[in-house]
Amino acid sequence: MADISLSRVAKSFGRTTVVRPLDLDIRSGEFIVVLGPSGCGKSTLLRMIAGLEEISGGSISIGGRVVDALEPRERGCAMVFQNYALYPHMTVADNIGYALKVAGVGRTERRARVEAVAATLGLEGLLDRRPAQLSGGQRQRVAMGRAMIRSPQVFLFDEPLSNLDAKLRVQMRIEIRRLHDRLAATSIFVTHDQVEAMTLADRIVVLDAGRIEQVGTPSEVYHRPATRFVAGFLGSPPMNLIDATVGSDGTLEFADGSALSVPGVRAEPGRAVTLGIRPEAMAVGAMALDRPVQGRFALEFVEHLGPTALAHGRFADAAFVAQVPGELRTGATEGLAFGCDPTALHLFDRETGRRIDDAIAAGAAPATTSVEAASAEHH
Amino acid sequence: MIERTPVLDAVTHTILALGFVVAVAPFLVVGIAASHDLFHVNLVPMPLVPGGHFVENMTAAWIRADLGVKLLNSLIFALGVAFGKVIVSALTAYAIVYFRFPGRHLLFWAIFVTLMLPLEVRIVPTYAVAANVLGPWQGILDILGVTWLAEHFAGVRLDLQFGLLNSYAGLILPLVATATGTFLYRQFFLTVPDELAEAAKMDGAGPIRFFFDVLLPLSRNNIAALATIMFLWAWNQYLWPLLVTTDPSHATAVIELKRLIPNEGGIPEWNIAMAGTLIVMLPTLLVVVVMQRWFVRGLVATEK
Amino acid sequence: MEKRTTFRQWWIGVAFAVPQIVLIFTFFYWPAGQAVYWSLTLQQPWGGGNIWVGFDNFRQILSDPLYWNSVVRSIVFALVATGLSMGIALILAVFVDRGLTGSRIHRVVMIWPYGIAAPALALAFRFMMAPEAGFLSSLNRLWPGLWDPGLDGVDAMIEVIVAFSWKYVGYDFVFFLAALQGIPRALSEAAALDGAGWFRRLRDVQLPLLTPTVFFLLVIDITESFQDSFGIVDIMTAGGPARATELMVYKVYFDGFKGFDYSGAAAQSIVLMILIVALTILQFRFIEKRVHYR
Repeated sequence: MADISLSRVAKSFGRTTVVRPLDLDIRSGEFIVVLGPSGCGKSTLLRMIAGLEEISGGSISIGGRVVDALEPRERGCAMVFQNYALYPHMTVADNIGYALKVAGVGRTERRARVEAVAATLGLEGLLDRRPAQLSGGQRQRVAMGRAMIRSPQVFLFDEPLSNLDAKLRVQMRIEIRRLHDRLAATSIFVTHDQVEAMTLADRIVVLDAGRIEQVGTPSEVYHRPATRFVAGFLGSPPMNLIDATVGSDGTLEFADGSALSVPGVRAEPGRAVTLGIRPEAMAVGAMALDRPVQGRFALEFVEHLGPTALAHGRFADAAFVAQVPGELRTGATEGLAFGCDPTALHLFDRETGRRIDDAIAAGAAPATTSVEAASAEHH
Repeated sequence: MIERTPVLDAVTHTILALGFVVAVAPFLVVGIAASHDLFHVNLVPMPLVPGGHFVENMTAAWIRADLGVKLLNSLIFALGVAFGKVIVSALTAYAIVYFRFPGRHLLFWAIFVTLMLPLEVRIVPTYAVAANVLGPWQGILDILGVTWLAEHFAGVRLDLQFGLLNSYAGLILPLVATATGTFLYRQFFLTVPDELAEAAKMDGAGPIRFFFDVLLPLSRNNIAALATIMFLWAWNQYLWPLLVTTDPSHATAVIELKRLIPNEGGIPEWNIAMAGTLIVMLPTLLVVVVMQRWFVRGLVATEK
Repeated sequence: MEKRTTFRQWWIGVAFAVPQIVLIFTFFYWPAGQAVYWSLTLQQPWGGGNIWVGFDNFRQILSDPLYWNSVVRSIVFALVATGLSMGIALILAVFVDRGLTGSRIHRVVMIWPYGIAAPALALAFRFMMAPEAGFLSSLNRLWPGLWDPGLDGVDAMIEVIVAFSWKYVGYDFVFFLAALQGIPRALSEAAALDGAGWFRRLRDVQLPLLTPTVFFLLVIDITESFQDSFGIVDIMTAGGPARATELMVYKVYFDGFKGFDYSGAAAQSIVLMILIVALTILQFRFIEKRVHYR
């Protein structure tokens, strides 16, 4: 167990900056998921902690010890690689036990420890096989076993589930979390999959273009996205984001001339903002009528997903999605009413992309006249 | 693909049969000629039914060209070159691929250039080096002025002499000094996933452990292919052994063939010449047949 | 291409490279440099001083008709032997690639000749093509004196070319077959659906895609014809009759080791080196870029 502290850590390859100077403190025993799109620098960040990549600036300490000049083996970290990186010519037992062999642990003790690890992972019968003779899930387990064998202070996972099929992925996800809870080591898990992030993490670090966008619990990141990027990246389907200007009389005005009346808007009039509404935070049709915020969007088509459906259309000249009950059948072409609570709206500064905190007062009185949204026929 | 092409199929079979005959006939002719007596082998055309003097001719060729010793020499020579190549090239390729040291690119190109110039075209000066392998190093000392300094101040005359003529080292080393194998390994090392080296680092292995525990075992196929190719290449060498082995006791089997060429005048003893030829080519033919897979793989890979 | 992961202990890398560095310096760069030095000086064999003569050695060999004779013979040998072995190899590879019954055996057998030492096959062919024994001598029964490589230069040249080509058919075959089998089946199948018959597919799809292999083999075969020909010539004709088969490498050997003219031999070596380097550069710079379809 060890806490990890990153201070002004940066990485650049020649002129390209991959990770901008960032600070991050990870508590001992915490499960941190670093989430971001491909190329955001998340793997580089992980590899810098592992010691596989030199840092260009700043400093990393693990368990209170600055590790900047230490080799990977001296840092007390173990890593699970995306493609597992099992040694193809060694048996499962040799793969798991290689670190002990390098460390000079005797044959009998090695065998005992390998068997113990194999037992926790359900690999007992496979110890004499080679990686090529294993299934994807089994290889994944061997890779985990190899990481566990040295009882490391820190586990590093580099998109370890991305090569598995959907069903196995769910199963391994649960297993990884269970192992983490039992071993109580600090874990850092890199992924681009938001479901993995939401289900595994104690805290999520959202990374974009080498910069930390937000650090927070899954709930914080979902309910109070700190930036427009986080808002758009988390959630499926993604949050609707529409550019708007704050009007003078509690409205948001859109580029196409339409407006939405939002009770309790506190942002100063004239400010350029981006409005965010999650598709799942809306009610549509008749159910929308008793909501404080009401609008109407032009429906284009409906995607049926079983229990729910997604209504795709356009609102204020932008693509718009609302999640609706699965039985919704509508031939409406002139438009579909939607409604939501003011607290379900997120406002982001259009310049900086940052969330405008307390932009909308909670518990505002329901508006009476509000439907001014444009429909498709006007264009 | 379903295709009815009876005429084309007939043509295919005919051409391939012809090719087969052309490829195999010389082997058969050598074998049959080696079984005739002096009279029959010189009939025109030579009878294609084997005669009964095979063992007798083989024995004669064996004794006349002293093939027992020569085949052993060839074996040591070819194995030496094969092992030397396999080892030296692996080490160098590892250095080039897995390390960043000053002058790495220079080294890469210095090795690459050796691919271009085969031994045959620089045979004269290479021979001089073999005559005194320390010559180049003496040359360096001369150029640097060390020789002069030593003579003037220490009164010692530096004269490095070490001949490699008529030695296995002289036969083997110059043939190891080219880049063929290095590039074979390099290509292979480049395809080894980076993660394996990283995993090894995480497991605490340093560069030497990684090389012996991971990289070499993974290279088994390439080692087999390279060793096969190099064994054949060395066994079949002619010009270099001809020059370096002035003393017949160090000669290789291939250069002994020259002694079996029938003399002008008299009835040519082709039966014995062919028996010798058979003995010399059988080992390589055997290697090609047994190691076919590695041989083809090595051929295609070393030239890329 | 570069590795993402390398080891920090670069001195270990250097240590690993030392054997190769020592070897190529001693047996490659020093001799190559020595050849340049000798070609520019006049040197007494083994000891004695050398006198700087500039390009005199080159002038001398270039004005020597015997040298030009060896150049012409080498070029004839290289072109005919290369054309012959590549042509036959291509035909065989194309038919083997059809995959009819028995093609498996052909794939195995066609490669055997390449495993044979040039001098050994030279001796075998010398017997088969001898004027008074073997098989070609049958011709002399019908037309006395028609075939005699011991006296007729053209016959001697034919003899060495046939022997060399026999060996290299196997070599070229390996590469042609590998290239043919590297062409995606889907291409041929698409062409078949387009209504192209076997020959059309061969001409329009497969042969164009073989161009890189053709040029690659052209360079390799020509280079090999400079080197591997030595054993064949030495065993079959010893350069004769009347220097009709005196190829460049053979002349270097003869002048250097039999005639003890190191400076002349060195100058010839330099010319040979320049030729081969030029061919290699041509292959890398020019041909490779032009004929790759990727």
